Amino acid sequence: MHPHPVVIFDIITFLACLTALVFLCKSSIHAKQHRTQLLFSGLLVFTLLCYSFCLILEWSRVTSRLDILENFIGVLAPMWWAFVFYAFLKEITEKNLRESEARLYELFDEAPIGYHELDTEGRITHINKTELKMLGYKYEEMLGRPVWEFVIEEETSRQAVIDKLSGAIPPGQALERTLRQKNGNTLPVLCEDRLLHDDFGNITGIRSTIQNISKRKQAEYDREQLMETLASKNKELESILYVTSHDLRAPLVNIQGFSHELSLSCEQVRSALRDRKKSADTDEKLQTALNKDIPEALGFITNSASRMESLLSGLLRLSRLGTAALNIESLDMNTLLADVTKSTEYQIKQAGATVKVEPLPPCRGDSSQINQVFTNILNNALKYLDDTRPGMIRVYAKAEYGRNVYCVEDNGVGIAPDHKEKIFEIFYRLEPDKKHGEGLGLTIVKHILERHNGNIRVESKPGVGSKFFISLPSV
Amino acid sequence: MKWGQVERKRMNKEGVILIAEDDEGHFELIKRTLQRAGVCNEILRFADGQETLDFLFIKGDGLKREPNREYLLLLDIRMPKIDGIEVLEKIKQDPNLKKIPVVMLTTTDDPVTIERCHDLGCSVYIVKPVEYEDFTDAVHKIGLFLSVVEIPQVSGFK
Repeated sequence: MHPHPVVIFDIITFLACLTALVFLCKSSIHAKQHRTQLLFSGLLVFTLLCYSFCLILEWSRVTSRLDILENFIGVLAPMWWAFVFYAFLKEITEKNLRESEARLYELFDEAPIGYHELDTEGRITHINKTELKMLGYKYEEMLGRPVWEFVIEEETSRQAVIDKLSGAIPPGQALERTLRQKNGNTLPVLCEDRLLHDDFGNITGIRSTIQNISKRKQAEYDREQLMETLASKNKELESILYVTSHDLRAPLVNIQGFSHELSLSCEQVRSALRDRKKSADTDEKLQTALNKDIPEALGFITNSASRMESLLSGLLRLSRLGTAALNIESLDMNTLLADVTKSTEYQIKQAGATVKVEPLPPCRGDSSQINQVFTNILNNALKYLDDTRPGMIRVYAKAEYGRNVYCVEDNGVGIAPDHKEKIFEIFYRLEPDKKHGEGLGLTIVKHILERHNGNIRVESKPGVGSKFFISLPSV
Repeated sequence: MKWGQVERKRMNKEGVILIAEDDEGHFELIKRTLQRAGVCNEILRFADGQETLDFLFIKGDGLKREPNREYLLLLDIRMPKIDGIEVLEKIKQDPNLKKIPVVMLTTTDDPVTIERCHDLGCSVYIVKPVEYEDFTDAVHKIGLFLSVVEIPQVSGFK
């Protein structure tokens, strides 16, 4: 026996109702139960009950159809169809929406720049993973806290955020800020703000992007350092040029001047010789010219020429120093100082001085150049000893932040405070008349130490002695 | 050379020319040229800035400035111990010594240095030329300057 077609139609409608119920239940899990949804569910359950009742009656053929019930279901059926269709579409749209939202959140969280949102009080309402990672905080630790609590320039930031939220200043300008990380470090960032508005145009908050600019800052810092080094090198070069041109010119003035004096003397000799009547006066003129003026002029000329020669060879030595390859190795400073004192033994004996070298820690450097450094300093100490007391020179060292500071201490004449910087100047000599030399010793020392990433400074008391501190990288 | 004899010798014979010059040769040349230009005042040489200041400020155990005498200073810049600019600065800061005319006579032709010396109050700035003719010219001019300039007397310290 075949079922009646209407019965098949009834079964399909029944299934539709069931589907609608499933949809409703499912959506009620996601969202809060809405009043209309409740009404729909009630109706649905009621319809289903009616249906079940009808179908059971019909199948069991216990009784004939209940017409009223039949009509009622006939009216409701299209509505249920429409509802199922609507619910199906809604489900698809919502699914898409959820997916794109998830994608968006992933973008938001995993973006290479930090994002956060603030409410009207400047408190953080949202923050992405990138920014959390930047600062080392957990989501809950930052949520709800005023954003300026994480900024080093706290007061400036607070004022700026409040002004922006009140509409007093327009946002949009990128600002450089320093953020406080959880571990106490700081992070330079570029912060860009946008205002959030509601439908009525009221400001509801701020959305900011945070860019880590520490690499850029580091590069900027490095560049500044480089510029400083360049500037100081440039200045040094300028001063070398200035001093050199002055010092090279000085002997030239002498050579020119005394050459002319010579020619004047020659003229005098000539005129004296032309004088037929040789009187005592002409004789004296001749004597002065030949025995005094001419030798004197010649002396000045020769001295000036050799002065120029020594200046030029000094310059050459200094320039060679800058190009010589460095062979940096671990240096046993005790052996090195023993070599230095041995090679200056003669000068030490001449000066009648005692040189005492205490045990020294090793350092890193080029052995011949570091030898030169200590030889020059020791020679200087010997040169400027005080004649009134026996010379005492002591070499000792102490470690200081990964470096060794070697000290050469003497009890010599000392250096006046005004000359402390000048003594390192090229061709500068404290007592050019009394001591010989080119005025290059300490310039060379400074130059060598600069190339070794070391430095030299001096402490001195006139009449008491000087201490030269040489700092070099330790092993 | 057409410098000829200077007729009016305003600078008193009593006036002393102080030359601060570390280079002995330069000093000798300056002295000779000044004398040839007709300047026959007493000339004193100081080998560095320290000696110059000691003399002027009546310190140390060298020669000392006498009160109520006329002085004029020819000052080199690059000298050991204390350079000429510092000497100039100290002289011009002193209410008494600042009356002394100071002629900068140096090989440095650096415009910055020249300006600084003028700012500090030097009377004349002359670059020592390498060329002999120019050099004697320059010193001659100083000789002329010396013969017409009125040099105030500098009183002693209290």
